[in-house]
Amino acid sequence: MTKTLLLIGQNFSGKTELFHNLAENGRIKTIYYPQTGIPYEESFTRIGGERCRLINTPGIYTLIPTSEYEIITLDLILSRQPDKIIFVMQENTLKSSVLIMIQLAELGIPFIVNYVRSVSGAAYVFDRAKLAHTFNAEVVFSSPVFEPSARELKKALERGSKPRWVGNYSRAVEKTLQTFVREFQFQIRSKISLRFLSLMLLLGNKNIAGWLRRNYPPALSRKMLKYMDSRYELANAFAIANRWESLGGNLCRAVWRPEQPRGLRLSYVLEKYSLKFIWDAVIAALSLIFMFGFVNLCGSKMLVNFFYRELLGKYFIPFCTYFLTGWFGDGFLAAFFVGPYGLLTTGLAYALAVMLPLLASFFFAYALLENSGYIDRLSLTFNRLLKLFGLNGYAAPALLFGCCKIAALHKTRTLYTRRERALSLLLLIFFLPCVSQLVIVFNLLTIIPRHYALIFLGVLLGQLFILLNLRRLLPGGTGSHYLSELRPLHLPDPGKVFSAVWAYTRWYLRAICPLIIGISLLLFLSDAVGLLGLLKNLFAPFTVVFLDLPEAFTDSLILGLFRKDLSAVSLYDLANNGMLNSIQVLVACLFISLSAPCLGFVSELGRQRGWRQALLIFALSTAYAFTIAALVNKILRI
Amino acid sequence: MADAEETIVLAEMADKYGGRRQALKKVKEHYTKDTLNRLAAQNYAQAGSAYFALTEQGLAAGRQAKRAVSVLRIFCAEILGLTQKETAGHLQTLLGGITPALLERYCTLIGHAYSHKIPEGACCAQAKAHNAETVLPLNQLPVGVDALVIYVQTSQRPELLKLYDLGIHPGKTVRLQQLYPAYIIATEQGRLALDNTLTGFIFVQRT
Repeated sequence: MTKTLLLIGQNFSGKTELFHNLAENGRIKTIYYPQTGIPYEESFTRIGGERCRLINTPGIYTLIPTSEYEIITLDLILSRQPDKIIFVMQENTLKSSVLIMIQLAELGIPFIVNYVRSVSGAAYVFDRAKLAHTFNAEVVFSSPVFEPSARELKKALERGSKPRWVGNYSRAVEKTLQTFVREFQFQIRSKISLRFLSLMLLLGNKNIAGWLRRNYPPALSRKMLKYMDSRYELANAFAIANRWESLGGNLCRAVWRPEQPRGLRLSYVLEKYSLKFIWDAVIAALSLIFMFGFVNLCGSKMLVNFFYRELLGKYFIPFCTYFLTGWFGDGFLAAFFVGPYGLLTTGLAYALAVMLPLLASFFFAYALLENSGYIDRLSLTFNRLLKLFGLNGYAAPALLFGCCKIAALHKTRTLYTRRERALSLLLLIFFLPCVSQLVIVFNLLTIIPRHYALIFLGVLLGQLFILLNLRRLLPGGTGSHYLSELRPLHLPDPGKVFSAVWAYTRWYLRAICPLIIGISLLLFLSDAVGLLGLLKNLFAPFTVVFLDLPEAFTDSLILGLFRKDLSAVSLYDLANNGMLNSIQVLVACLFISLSAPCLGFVSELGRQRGWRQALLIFALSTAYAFTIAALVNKILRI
Repeated sequence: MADAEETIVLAEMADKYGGRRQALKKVKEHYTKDTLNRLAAQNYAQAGSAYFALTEQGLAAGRQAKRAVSVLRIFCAEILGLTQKETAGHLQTLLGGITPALLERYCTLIGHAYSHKIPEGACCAQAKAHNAETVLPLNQLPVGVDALVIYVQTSQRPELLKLYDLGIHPGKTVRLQQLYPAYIIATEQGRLALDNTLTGFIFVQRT
């Protein structure tokens, strides 16, 4: 018989992300719970070589149902009788999560805890061993940025054993529970403990009573309910709830110790002024200048220069080219590794020698601010501004990752509502350019007359205006509201900053790197079968006739499919070689800034929204950018 | 006040007809001749050869009856947890012994007119005035004043459930520190930043 695994957790705790990480590819089924219209997801996964059914339940705050979601989750536990439970909890919902864990321990079904905590901004020192020992449950870490490794989770699930009770109740309640268990232990065959059933009946839970009536012979269920009715008192419910409350409080204090931040006195001025009118914007602007200045200086100018231009460009690639062409000649295999779209010269070179240093320096600056507690303040400062776009402060960290749009899109997955994810996608496609591309585009704008540069800015502002109005057309209500704890600012802890940089880098290597390498392989194959040449020939007349750009611009466009900043660099070369006049520079800048993002972005979009939607968005945004650029070109040439 | 059955009839009539004249034939479709005669005898209604209308006195009694019926219906359903069918039976009994003082107590038990759609009585207005001084949404609390959390309307905004983890629940003391860049609240555990919309669902009492 197929085993069942249930994924339980609070709303927005990261259940769905974990579910998609564990589920077999393309086999996710959304089921609407009868008579409610509330969906839950079902799929399969392999644990220890055995195929198990995996169910993602609606979010809960307690196992004593007070909302429709909680009724459905309890019904799923009762009806599916899971073999194991994965409980997803977040650091910022400790108390209610511990309460659910106490209830899960009473349930008697083995469970593991997936503990989601901030990478560098953790507010507590967490005693993993103590929590695992208290409940006899495995604890697996993950962070909002990267999913835990499926292998680690599956191993924990394999080991999962019966949970341990965490405490007893008053003598009267214990006596009632024990008598109930003794009385009915041979008559009820269920994975759910009799102790849990009797506790729920003592709490007056009607769902459990209904389930007993439906699943056991009338005489037996009547006997059980009658027994518990005779012992039901309102005082019992209070006694149990109070006991849970005190147990939860004690456990929280024993397992989570609030971290003592360093350098509080030093940050007092920042603390005060980061929440003051105007000053908050000034401090935010300074921190952004620091962050992106650091990325530009350290990442782009020093590290990329060293790794890509010096190490790879001067030594590694010529060395590889020499050996590979020596071994394989100028054939297919040499082109595969060191050709114009080769694995070493483009895929690995861009992923590891361009993007990695750039992003690692960004991760360092970001972790520094995150660990000092300033990222929350930054979110708060941007909250009002983002509200204009239908978003809120929660979207700020995701948009900051705009250093690489693929990373930014990946981070928008943590936003609460579908509408917010859609709005941030619109902002990323139509307004926020990649930072490295932006630098080159601005360099290009400085070499053309000022009024053309103003036209460029005018078009971007017009786009922003359209986005401001477009948000009203999107379905999904008003979205979520900002609610966050304000932790005191403090000096960053170097150890934590470096561990956060490593965590983010590992996430980049696991989530983004394969996309870039995959796209390079795709480009190589397209080039090898002549598809790339065909595309160039197909688009060249359009760029020549409608945009009045030279045929050589098509090469920049093809590079733009791979990386937008490379497209901008190629355009910069064309302009510097005198192949473009001012109008052509403006039109080309507009086209590459407004057109669809790189194929890596499209792949991430495909992963999140499905390939059909991703390709549609790609085609529509390209067509839109082409139309705007062509219109500006024709108007300027009248 | 009239007896239980008459009270229910008066409440219905006040709701349905108000002070307007009605065709007698139409009224007789719903009420017996005996009931109408009893109302007319107590000067609650005027009945001509072809029309029927509630008098001023009848209208006033009708409004009071409507309030009594509404209050007791909610009392039966929400406080006693009775079904609609059971409520109909109990209503007759409760209405039989109702006095204005008792009605006020029932009204207090259900939380007065501002938490239910019932006609407002003197007690409701008094409670409203009293609560307006003490209980208010958090966004109306002056800056720097300590207040006790009375109620958090989580049913309206489920994200407010997060407040429990952040140390805000009924009985806890909070202080509104500043309104910019969002509502910043100081609690025993630390500080929180909330959107204005959310603060409207947190009710506090000045201490």
